[in-house]
Amino acid sequence: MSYVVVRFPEPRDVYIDDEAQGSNIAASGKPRALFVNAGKHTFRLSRAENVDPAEQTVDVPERPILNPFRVEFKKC
Amino acid sequence: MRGFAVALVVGTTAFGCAAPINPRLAAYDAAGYRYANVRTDAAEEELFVILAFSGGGTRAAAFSYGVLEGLQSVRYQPVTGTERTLLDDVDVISSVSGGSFTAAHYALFGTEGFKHFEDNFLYRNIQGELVVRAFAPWNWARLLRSDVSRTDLAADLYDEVVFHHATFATLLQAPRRRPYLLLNATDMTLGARFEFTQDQFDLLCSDLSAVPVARAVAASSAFPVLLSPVTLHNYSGGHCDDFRAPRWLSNGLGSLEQPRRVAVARNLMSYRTHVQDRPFVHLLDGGLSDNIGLRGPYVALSGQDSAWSLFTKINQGKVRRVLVITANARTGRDPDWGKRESPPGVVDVLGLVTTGPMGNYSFETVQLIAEHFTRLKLDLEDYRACETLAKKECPAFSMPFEPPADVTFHAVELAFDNVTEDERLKSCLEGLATSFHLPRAQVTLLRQVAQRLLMTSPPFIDAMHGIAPAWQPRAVTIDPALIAEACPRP
Repeated sequence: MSYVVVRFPEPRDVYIDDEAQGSNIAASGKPRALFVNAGKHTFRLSRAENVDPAEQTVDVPERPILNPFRVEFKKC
Repeated sequence: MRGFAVALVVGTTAFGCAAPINPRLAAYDAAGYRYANVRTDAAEEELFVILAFSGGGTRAAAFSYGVLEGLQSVRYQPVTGTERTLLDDVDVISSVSGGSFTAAHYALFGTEGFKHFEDNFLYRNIQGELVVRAFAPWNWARLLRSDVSRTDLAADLYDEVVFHHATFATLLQAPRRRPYLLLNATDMTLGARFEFTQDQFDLLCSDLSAVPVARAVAASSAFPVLLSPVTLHNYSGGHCDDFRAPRWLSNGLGSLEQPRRVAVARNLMSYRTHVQDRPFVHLLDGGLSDNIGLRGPYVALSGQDSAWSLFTKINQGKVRRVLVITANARTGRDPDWGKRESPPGVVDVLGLVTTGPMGNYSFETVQLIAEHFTRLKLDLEDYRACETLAKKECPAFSMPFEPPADVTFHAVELAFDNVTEDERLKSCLEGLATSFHLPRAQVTLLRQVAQRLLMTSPPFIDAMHGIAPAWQPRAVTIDPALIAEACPRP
């Protein structure tokens, strides 16, 4: 298993393999780590019209909680 | 003799060709027996309870029934809302073989059906009735047909007397609060778990809704040699080209660094990629691939590769506590084998090869879940410890990200191994037969033992104190006279 932080400057719902996983940002305003099983997954965000890329499929490696894997989206 | 032959021909013709038990799917959509269509209220998922019922004939059915009775007796007052029982909180029941009778009956008929289940299955000589049907002259013509088997006769009996012609569509009509039912069989070709859900049947381009629940239970309990496999049609290909694999499945195929993910995804996709070679799927006892019914829940608990992924529900903040209770009616092996020079007989060898390896596999699955829960807990403790340590050196420090939702996990295994205070009782339980008929006293004993094990299980008591701090387990005593009757001294 692994931990993933999805980076985007605004709060958005994160979709992993088309399933909503909740917001990328916690109530505290910090990014929020998500539980993910290792291997290939497709990530996308809600309201994707100003998100780059619209979706990305990445191979998530096994990562401990203190060093989560990062998936980056940019605002465009 | 000529008259008999004519009767056979007439009888065979009169019955005609049997319709496949699993019809073709008209169109792909979100309907059907899926988790999302059964458990529709996310508020009910905060405490997520999973039950896993093992195989073991009536022994397993009675033991798992005792667990349901025990959960029904656990009343507590939640923080909000009215008093309820822990049985109301059960979200998923995953079962194999004998445990599937209890699981399916409860999912269909709820606690209102308890008395009926006792009368029409637990205390009934189902095995005797199966034998009578198999030898009944009016069934000879049917059994001569290539598409009718002993398991068909068994499924007919279960359908009539236990499940009253209920189908998977009936399960969807059951009142809210009923658990999602995972009936597990074993695909003979793959040697892999096959679950009776629409998600699995999508791969066959088949509609589960019209399939009798009794057929699924018959497949789940089709013990090798004694009962024949249950056959399904695989309609994928042809007009089913609009099938779109779930993303987790197509991504699983490409996860080359994760061989377990790849293997599961390949097995599932093989129903479509090898349809020319496999227009039929033959199913045997679910205990051959998972004798405890925990593999499906383990996949859901440890990743996104499931139609009801717990990781997804935790990430969504819906689930705050997970309780997994396993009713394992595993028995011991004959300890005398090693004392004799003559090797065990054919029956012993058959029993070992059909259940022995799976017993070890089941133990590993229970361990996997316990270790998985421990790791999640330790990870969170690592995060908190790191944060505390850093703040001690630098009070202004702030962790750059928040951890996932704080979820509490409990794994409870109820097995005859846990009977420690009475060696005679333990020995008796471990020697009970695997059969669809047990003496009345043994069935009652199994129900009481399950309730006692539940009420005295430290992990269960710990879980309940987390759910309702004021809760106290009720005393369950097992009547010594019942033990004497159920376990006569040799």
